[in-house]
Amino acid sequence: MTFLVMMKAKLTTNIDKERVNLRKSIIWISSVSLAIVLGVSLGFVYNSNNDTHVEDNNTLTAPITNNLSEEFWNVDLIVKGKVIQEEATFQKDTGVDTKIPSKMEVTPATIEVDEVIYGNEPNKTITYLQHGNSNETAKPKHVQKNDEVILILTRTTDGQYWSYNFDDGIWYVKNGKVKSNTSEKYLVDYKDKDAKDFIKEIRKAAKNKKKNENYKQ
Amino acid sequence: MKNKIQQLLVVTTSILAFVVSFTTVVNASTFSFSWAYKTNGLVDVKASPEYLSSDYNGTVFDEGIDKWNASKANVIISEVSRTASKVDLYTVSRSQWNDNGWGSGEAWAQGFSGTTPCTTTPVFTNPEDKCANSLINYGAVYTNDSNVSFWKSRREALIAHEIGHIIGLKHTSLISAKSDSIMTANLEGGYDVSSYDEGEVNYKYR
Ligand SMILES: [Zn+2]
Repeated sequence: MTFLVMMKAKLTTNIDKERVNLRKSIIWISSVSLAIVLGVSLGFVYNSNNDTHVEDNNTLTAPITNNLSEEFWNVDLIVKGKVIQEEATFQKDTGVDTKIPSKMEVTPATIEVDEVIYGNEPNKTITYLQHGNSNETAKPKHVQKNDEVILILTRTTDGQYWSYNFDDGIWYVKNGKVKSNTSEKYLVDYKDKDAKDFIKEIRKAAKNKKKNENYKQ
Repeated sequence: MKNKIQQLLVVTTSILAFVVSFTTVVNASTFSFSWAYKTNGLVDVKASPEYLSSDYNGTVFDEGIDKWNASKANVIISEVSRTASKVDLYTVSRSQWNDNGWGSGEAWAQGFSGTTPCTTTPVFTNPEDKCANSLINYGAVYTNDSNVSFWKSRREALIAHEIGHIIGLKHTSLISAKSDSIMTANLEGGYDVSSYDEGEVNYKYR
């Protein structure tokens, strides 16, 4: 009788032990899987929020710069104005004697100048040159008729203008705020900021423009 | 005690899973186009520095191409005359660079597939537009004569970097590889071919 009771008791503790073990392994397995799920999802979120995913297809190497004045080393003119019209696209020779000829498409736009923010331009309108044609997705995006713009420009030998550096020189004024597709580190913070403040800052930077000391002057 | 171990395990597993998913999600830093010429399993680049200014021609060019030649990347870049070259390097005058609207940069690279330039400007929606999955049979590298670094080391790295683009390397996007890769945007990483760069080339041309 005593033996039977003892057997029963032992059996119960064994079952209890197994139950406890089972519970323990369930907890372990679930914590580990939770950890994996957590880690993987955090990894994905971190990835998608990070610049590691920006499609960088450029082959252009930009110089070392320490501030906006150095960034503007090649700026000749800054204007605020309005887009009057887009002109006809033409083919331009690059002037470089490559074995396979490389012609570029150029689409000019006429800009009515409201304010010269920096530099000298006696004319009331300027010719602003853009890469590509208006039928395909050009980059930088072409300006449209009636757009209010602030353009940071470099002069060509025949007195026309390009953006000093692609998207970085093209700013739209909308409801007193400036918009741009720039990702330039000294300009990116001005996006969606007050146009008046932006004009003040870029004028100051352009007036003090200089090449970074690591470059031949 | 057991609880502590369990917590520790959860944290380590989380971190491990994070790192693994993070590094595998970031894809390779290569274009879909490839260099057309291979010799004995090596990417074969015959380049002419003839039209480079004295800032780049000579030892700067030699040291620049040596960065790839001395690396474990399966690439051989040789200096040849312009009649035999498949990559030509040019130093473009300030006025020409400005007239072309090429911006404030130091250099850019342009591949050609057949007679089609992959892109006609240094910045484009997607340079693969015209060269996606194509073979690149000619390349041009342009350096800006009005924006030349004082530092020979940077000019050498610039030569190696731009030729890297011609053979199909994009800018290195993997954060852990950025600090020493020669293909980091604007040469913000290293000035030498890193083991990551070697791996990118050897994987692309495996
Ligand atoms: Zn690059």
